[in-house]
Amino acid sequence: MIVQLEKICKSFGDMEVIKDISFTIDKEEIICVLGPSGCGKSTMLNIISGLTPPNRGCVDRNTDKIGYVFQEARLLPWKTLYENIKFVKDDTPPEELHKLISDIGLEGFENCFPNELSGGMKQRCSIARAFNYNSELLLMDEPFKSLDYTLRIKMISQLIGIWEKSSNSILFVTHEIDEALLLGNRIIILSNRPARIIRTFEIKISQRERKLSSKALTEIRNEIIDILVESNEQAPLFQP
Amino acid sequence: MRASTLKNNPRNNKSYVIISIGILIILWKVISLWVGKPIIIPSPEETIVALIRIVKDPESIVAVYNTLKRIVIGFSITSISSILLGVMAGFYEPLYYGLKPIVTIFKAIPTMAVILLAIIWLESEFAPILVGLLVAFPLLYENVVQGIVNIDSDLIEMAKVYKVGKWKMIREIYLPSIKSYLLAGVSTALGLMVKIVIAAEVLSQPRISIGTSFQIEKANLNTAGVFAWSIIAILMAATFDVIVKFIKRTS
Repeated sequence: MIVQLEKICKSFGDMEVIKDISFTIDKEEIICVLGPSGCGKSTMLNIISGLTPPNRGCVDRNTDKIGYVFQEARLLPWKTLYENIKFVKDDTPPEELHKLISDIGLEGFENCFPNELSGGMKQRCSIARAFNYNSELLLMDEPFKSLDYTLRIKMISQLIGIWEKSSNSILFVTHEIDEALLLGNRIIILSNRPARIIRTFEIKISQRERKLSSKALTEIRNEIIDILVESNEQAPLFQP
Repeated sequence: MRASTLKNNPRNNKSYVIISIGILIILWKVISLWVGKPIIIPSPEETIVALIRIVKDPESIVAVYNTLKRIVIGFSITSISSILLGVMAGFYEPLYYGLKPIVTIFKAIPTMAVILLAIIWLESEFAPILVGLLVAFPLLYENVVQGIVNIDSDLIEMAKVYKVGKWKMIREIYLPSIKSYLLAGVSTALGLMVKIVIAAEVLSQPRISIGTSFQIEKANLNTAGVFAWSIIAILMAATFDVIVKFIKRTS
């Protein structure tokens, strides 16, 4: 076990954001967290990373090597792509860094500054930075949100490639069902705010062998859609 | 079609500057001919003759050196104090609000009042340094505070997650963030220092200085000399500007 969450609750003022969330993240697994926009997914990641303390419950961490890919790339504008990746760990040998850059498909852009890169390239750079950190747990907050569908599928395949070579765990937050189906060993479905776990799916098929059109994944997708629609019908249309 | 901006075509932009200087000189000549009294508006040729005379005089070099020394000393003290106080005030709100009235007074007090008070309090050699320091301080200080306040908190949060050390954070996030604000402040403050220190010298009359030379030329009713010394002051400010631009480009 890398991280264990035990009955986590979080409120901002009178607004309850997370309610009684408990689950564990095991070694070398990818957990995808699916939930409607604004349900408290990012707050949960901030609690796991230690950036935000919970109001109740406890987070048991067996590692302090936690990487975080935020929704925005958060690159230093005055550093090149290579320097940004190196920023979190200075002692990585240059050949390893170049290998990482090539794995993420950014070869030839090492000396470019963030303002010379596209949104997708910046996000890939922040993923490479997180992998350079050698984190045991990687938190990813809708990292492919700004990308189009085909690029997103390509990025997922690249991410699986890097994850297979490393031995880290990934907690991947998204509201795209297909991303969760392609990546997750487990998929956790959260309700509308305050976020609670409604259901957890386990997918035993290896990530490399998954096809979105396969019967198994289609069945899970339909079930997830039903759960999300039902949860959404119970929630008011406009939440404060 | 590409929009025309200040960044486009630097060669063409330089030629505009040269044309503008040419027009100014022609205008100057026309006005001097129209007025017809060199004691009010000397012609460009008379000014150049005065400039050559000043440059040839060894005492002028000492005057430039002395004024330059005052500017550099005043500017160094202002820079160190404004960076230190600005960084502390940027991080520590009570200090920012505590310093606010002092900075507002420095900003609002008439320069002439500061010069007169400095002459009363200090020897004529040191008064211009104090004046330059007091006038440039609020400008640099506020730029440093702005630099600190505008640091991207997302970057700080990212560095915290990756457990980046404090010194590395200062070196690689805080300093580059405030650099652009600081250099913009330095550029304006240096230009202001040249003007203010010379103005203070005109009134406080230290032994040999650009300000004193202005006063001597004026007393001798040599307006061409006043114009020539003005050109020297302008060149001095332009040199500082070039140095700051060079630092901006290379750092």
